[in-house]
Amino acid sequence: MLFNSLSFLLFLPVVLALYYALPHKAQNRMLLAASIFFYATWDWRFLAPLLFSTSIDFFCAQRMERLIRAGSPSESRRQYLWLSVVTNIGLLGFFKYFNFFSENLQRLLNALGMEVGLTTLEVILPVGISFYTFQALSYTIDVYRGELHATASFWDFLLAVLYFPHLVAGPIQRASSLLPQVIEPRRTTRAQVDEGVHLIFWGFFKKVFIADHLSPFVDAIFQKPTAPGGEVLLASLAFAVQIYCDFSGYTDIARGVAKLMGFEFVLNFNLPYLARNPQDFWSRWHISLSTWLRDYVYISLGGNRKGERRLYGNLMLTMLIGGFWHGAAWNFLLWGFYHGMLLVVHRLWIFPWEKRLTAKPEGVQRTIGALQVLIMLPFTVYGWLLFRATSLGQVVHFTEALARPWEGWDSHLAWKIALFTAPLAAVQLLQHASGRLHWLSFPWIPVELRAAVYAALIYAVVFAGGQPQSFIYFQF
Amino acid sequence: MRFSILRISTSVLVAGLAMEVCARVEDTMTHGAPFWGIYTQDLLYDRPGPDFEGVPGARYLKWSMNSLGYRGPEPVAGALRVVCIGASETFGLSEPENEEWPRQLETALQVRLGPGQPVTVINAAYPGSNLRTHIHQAPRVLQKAKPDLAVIYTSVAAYVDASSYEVLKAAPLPRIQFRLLAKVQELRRKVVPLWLMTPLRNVSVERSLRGREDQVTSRIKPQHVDLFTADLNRLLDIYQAENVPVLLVTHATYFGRQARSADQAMLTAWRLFYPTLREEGFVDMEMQLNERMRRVAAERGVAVADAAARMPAGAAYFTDFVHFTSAGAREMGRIVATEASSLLMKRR
Repeated sequence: MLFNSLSFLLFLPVVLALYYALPHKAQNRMLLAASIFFYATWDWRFLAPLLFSTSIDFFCAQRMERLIRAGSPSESRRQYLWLSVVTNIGLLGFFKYFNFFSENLQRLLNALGMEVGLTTLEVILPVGISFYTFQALSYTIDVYRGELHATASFWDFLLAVLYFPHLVAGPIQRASSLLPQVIEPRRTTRAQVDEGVHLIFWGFFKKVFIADHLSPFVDAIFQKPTAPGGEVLLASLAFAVQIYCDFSGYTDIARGVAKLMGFEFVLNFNLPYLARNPQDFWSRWHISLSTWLRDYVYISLGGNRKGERRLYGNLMLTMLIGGFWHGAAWNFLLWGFYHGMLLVVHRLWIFPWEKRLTAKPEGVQRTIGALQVLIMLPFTVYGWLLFRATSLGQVVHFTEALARPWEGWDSHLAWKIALFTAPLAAVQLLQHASGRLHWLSFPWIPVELRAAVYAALIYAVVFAGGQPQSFIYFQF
Repeated sequence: MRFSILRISTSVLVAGLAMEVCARVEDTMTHGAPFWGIYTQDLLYDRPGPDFEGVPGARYLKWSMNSLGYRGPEPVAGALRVVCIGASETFGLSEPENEEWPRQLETALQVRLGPGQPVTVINAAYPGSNLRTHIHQAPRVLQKAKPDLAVIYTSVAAYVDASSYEVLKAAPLPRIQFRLLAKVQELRRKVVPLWLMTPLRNVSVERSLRGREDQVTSRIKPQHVDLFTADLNRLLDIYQAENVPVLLVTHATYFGRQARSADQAMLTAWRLFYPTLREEGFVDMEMQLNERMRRVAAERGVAVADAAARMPAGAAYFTDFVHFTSAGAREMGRIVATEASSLLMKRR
């Protein structure tokens, strides 16, 4: 069941009506049933791996909690952590990466002159497996570290993992943030309703009006093995806008729906294309994943505590894992490597220079900041070319073509892309200038003006949306 | 309390106006429609008397008229001219621009006749036409299109009852138009599932039958079949008097030769336009009138393209009971081209 489907528009009001009518415990049971139904609408068989890994995680966390209470050393609970990690990563690896490794191993052996036929499996990737795996892992790791108490209720834990707004494409909700909200009675405030409705409308607008309209332009150009530079440039720019609107649109809807039920999800996007440098970009883009990788991979590897060389190695490895998390393909690894390189280069040469900037007057800082944004943006857009490419050969051809952007430049297409990008750019500049992500929350905006803006957003979504497309991040 | 009710009312009004503005901006940006004023399908044609007259150069949504006032591109000078006469199935509703069956016929004919013999197809159909309108239209078609071949693909459902074959009178254009309403209706057609639409349609049928329940029938009356025959003969007389060869095309539907039980919802959708005929009567009516068409053609030595028999049934070829998908229009063009090409070769 997609957020941008008629079935979801029927499903949500029913869930909300039941939610407001029930007491807390019954709310949780109803939400669990609704989440299972929501997930089963894709394929009920997907529930099996999800319930299996969740049960193992619950069991492991219970055992670790008991050991902590008994004052046992951390080594004694490590076996349970490993059981949880191996189960979760094992399932993820089986469903997502088995064919990738099998195919590439076969190619390697064939290249070495060994004719072998390795097995590939016809497995369907369970929707959202990358997201719920990371969510569940955060629970057992936090319990292992003693940063979170294991819950005694399996149903509460199951709801925290399965809760439908974040289940299939995030934001990756850590158990430490979501579980207390499940356990404690919730009260939906008026501010939450206001913000939730705003997020839902704006999220749908970004997805249905902007991303779905840009998708055909991007697909048409990325279907070609080669294309002139002008087309590659436009397709890369359009994809940068498309993927942002698609993913942040989903996140906004998820956060908005959660708010209507009194839940608070973490912020996942904070004007990422206004980032000044690679480090800043990763503090604004897919924040729930980047902070997860920071806390559970980068810091576990030693972070910056083990010398300069290890620091750069840790950065590269973390970004490679981040890239590979997106999918079993070489271009995602390349994209992770590229961002790792950007972070290393920034850390090595630009970071010290930026530090010195803090002593400059504010006007100078702002001007240089704006210039940094303009410099960072092309690097980000090129990263999206790597991400969207369908083969390594296409990456090479498209990169070469980008050196001649005037070839095959299509002004008509450029105007169309600009038309769909303009509302996003205008709103983001307003958000940046005002420091408010809820850009209609100014007290001086009369309710009539808000009604007009929401009406325009609804019109764009309902009557003027693009051809309905699935959310890009569902495939991850 | 009074203040908040006022504010809510104002907000609702402002929201409605904002949506109407959006609808107009969208029409202007996507179709070049005027922001102010009326924008309806009636911009494409006038109905000065008992028939239609296209407005040269008019545009509405995806539809555009040529300088003759017919849908499609300008006819090619010096080419063999084929004119297609019919209703909305021929005018083209659901197919993308230039994929309606007369355009597909042109492509198919050009392939059959070869590049040395250019051929141009003129789409002289208007939605809502029937044999009566074709008769009134015929002198103008002959004068403007100067056809080497007339292809007649007439809608037959107008002969369900006495009222439906009456030539429609032109309704005056509205003074005020809310374009949002048209968008809502279009959306409703796309979004509301069939299982919900069918009971609503049944209610509409019941309501429109109030006071004339006694007229409801399962089979069209024999005198209406005779009336169809007479009208068809009159139309053929006009074209044959001008020595224009005619190709009669039997009427194809979504259902083929027999409606299945799964087609009930689609039949109800059709009945909405002709409430006095029960669902089970439509396929029978088509078969009777198509059979009459074949008989008239045989008696008068007129060629027939038997689309009713040759057109595949089902959703791949029809978007509703009679209107074509792109694939359906392509198939229709191919079927008509088979017969039309041999008539044109004789003409050449």
